[in-house]
Amino acid sequence: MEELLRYEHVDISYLGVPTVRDVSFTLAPGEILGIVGESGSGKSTLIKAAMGLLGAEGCVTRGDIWYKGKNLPDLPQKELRKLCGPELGYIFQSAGSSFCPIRTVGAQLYETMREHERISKADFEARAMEMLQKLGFENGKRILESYPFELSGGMQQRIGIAAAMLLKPSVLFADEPTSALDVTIQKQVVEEMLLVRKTFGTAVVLVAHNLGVIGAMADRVLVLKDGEAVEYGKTQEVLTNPQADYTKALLAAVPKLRR
Amino acid sequence: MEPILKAENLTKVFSRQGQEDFTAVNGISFELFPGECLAIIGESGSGKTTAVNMISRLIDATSGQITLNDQDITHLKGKALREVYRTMQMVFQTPTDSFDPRRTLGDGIGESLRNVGVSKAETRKKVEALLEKCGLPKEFARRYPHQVSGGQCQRAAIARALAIEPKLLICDEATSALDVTVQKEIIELLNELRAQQGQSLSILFICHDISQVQQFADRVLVMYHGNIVEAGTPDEVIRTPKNDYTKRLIDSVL
Repeated sequence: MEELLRYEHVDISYLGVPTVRDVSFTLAPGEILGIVGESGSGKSTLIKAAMGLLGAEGCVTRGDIWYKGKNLPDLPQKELRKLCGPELGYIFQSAGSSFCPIRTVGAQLYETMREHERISKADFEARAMEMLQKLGFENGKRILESYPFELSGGMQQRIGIAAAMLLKPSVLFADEPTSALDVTIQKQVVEEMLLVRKTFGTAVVLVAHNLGVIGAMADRVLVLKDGEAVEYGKTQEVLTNPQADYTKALLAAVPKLRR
Repeated sequence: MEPILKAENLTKVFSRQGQEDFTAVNGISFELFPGECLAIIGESGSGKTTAVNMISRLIDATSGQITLNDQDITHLKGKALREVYRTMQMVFQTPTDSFDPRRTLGDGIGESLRNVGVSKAETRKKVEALLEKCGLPKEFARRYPHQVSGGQCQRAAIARALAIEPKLLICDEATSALDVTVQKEIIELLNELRAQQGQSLSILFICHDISQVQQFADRVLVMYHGNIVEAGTPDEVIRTPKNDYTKRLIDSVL
């Protein structure tokens, strides 16, 4: 199977304290991998490591993260920055607070694009409008002219996805993109991300604690507990026939709607 | 049977200078009976928390009436209002924020007992018993909020709410900030408490997770834009929703 991204026996520490131990997985083009686990299990740390977002206190202490033949933790900062955006996209939990509140959405998206390529304002607008249209936004122009606070939480999150997709990355890391949202809006965001995969063939690493979201989206799932992978396999198999005790407990704890 | 809590035409309008008035809760009415668990669900901004904040008298209602245990508590103030909290206690969404970070959990749990004149030695004994009742070792009385996990802190918050043996427990998104395994533990604890106390404990449970409500509540009210749009048993509401919003809410559950 073709591989896009490969984690090999990755250990990550914060201030010398190990938070992730010996985690390995692979990601194929267009695949959606779900990472589940409780707060503090190391889910977000794992994807931040690929993007160099661990900050001064965290570092990958062992193992490699391979992306198209390059080991991401070994790359000089400048080279990694070039990959972040056009190759590796990132969506944050709260898109609203990841935008600048005093500048329009359009101005911020333009800034992101200009960082990576020479593009005129008119070309940017044409591309942004095309992207927004592909992702199902009805009035792209109005959105580009809006300030983040003028949009609802769900809309902000969908624009966070559109912003990441403007540079057409091959891998999209999504850190709890739906947990701050209401259930009705959660569904819209899930549909948006599935549309991204269908339209652009983007591979997605989805971090979530909601097993329902993982079940609806992911092809494979990695279950983390206290920084270690306790189970890794096809989503349907893991959800219907879990092997690890922890996965069983996690599944048993999810309240199911009896329709 | 007389209801323990009755809300009649409860309305809250927020007035903001230079802006139009905003009606957060629009004349809602409901009753909660002894021993019953009533859930209120709805999305962010639907008015759930504003409604319970009025009931728990953390904010004043613009109009309407709240009757607790046959007493009109809508406009009570000062000492009379403090007396109300012998009957009604709250458990909040973020457990660590609801305790004073500079005082031990035991201190926080015992405060309401000391306020009603229980002696120090008696308070200590009661606090230990309450912690054990809520599934925590009694040694936790000496811990500070930051020294325990979110789930343990929420158990302590429930112990604190139960300290003066209230008849009504108001849980405002008491499980939403917790992991799913911990959520389950807290729901099991509340179920145990209900089984132990029978008709002497009623629960008003605010939640946005309809599947959790189905496991736990006797009746459910669905709120949307400040109105109650549907009411019934969880099974009725989930299987035969009448309102369009309720249908959408149920369809969205993944």
